Amino acid sequence: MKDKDDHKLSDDELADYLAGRDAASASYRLLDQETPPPALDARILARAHESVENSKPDFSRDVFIRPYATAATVLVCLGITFLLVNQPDMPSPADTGIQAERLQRAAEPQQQVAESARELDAIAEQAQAPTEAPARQRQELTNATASTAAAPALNANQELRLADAAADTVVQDFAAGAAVSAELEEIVVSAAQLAPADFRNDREAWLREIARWRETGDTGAAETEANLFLARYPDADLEAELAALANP
Amino acid sequence: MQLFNIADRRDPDAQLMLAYGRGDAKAFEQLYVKYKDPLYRFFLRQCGNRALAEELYQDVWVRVIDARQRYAVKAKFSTWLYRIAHNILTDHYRKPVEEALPEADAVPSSRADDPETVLGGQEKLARYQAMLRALPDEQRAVFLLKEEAGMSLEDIAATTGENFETIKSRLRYAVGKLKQALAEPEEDERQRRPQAV
Repeated sequence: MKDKDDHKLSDDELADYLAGRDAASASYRLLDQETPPPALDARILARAHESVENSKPDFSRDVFIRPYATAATVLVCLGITFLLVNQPDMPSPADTGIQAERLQRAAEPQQQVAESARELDAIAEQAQAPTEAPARQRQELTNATASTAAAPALNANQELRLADAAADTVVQDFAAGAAVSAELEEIVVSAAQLAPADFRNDREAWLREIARWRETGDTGAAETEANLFLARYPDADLEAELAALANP
Repeated sequence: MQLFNIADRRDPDAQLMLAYGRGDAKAFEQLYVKYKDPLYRFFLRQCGNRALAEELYQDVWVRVIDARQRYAVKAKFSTWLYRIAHNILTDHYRKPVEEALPEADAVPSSRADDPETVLGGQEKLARYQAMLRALPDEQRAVFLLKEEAGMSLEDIAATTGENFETIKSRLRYAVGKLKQALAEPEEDERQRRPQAV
């Protein structure tokens, strides 16, 4: 008696078969190439046409309204176009957030410089004012305030660069985070697909589970199952089936 | 959630189905002409019964017609269509035996006008056909999806909801058994020959 694996193709044989170089494929082509009976074709095509005819809206009674509706639509479209053309470019909300943070960080050292400059002016004014202080003391004061102002100016450049680097890191982290989150979501769905669940073997039981999750407010689970259900039954009208289940 | 391939959106058949969804009956006709024969043979060879095959075949198209306005491109049209066919067959297999139609007639014969058939390949083809009928349903389904729908292993996996390696394995067994059926008498003859000498 032959072992079960005697029938199993090797990798090379499978490759040959997939490339169409195999007797099993050639022999299949020798079998009768049967076609559906013409009456069956006609029935199906008639049903397809009927479905289209039945769903066509009746516009005949709207003949008088149509020009006005068209004119109104055109006016609205023109208005929106005018507004869009005359509006300055708007960055996306995400860009705006990042940009605002970056600007704020960049502005901090500049504000420090401005404050120092104001202090310098005030001190200089005091220095220029007729006082009892000797000229040397006045010179020291001016030097001290000038060096105090120069330090934040140097820091400002460094901080600007740091702020830029930090903002870039935020953008990179955001992108990486989005990728990881998409990957995680995929893993969750894959895990759900792999997880053994008896109810998925029965269409009605599966629908009941989806309905139950929705009722308990577990929308995440309900949505995952709904997606799996629709992947398995791509032609299904899920909402109609759930409604039918709720009101038999 | 897994995103569908962008190429699927450009699938011309998916576009035809979308057009049918918008009310273009001619688009459906084009789809029907393209898919009707392979889909019919898929059912015929899976069920081995003409009446049942016709019933299930019609059921697929009725579901396609009913789903036309809900249709969204999430895969190739062929994958979507054969997924419906696969579900219908699976539901049929799950039915209690007494509900199923009797297995009888209808398995298509080989082409009589083919030279190889006339010259004695008929017996070989008969064995091949018998083996095709005897394959487990899952193995036969994979083989037919490859032969009739011209699907890749990835598409078959998507259609049946099985993983790639399972599909590959089923195809290995199915084709291996069919090849065995074609080769069997020659092997027997080879085994007999030394004994005769």
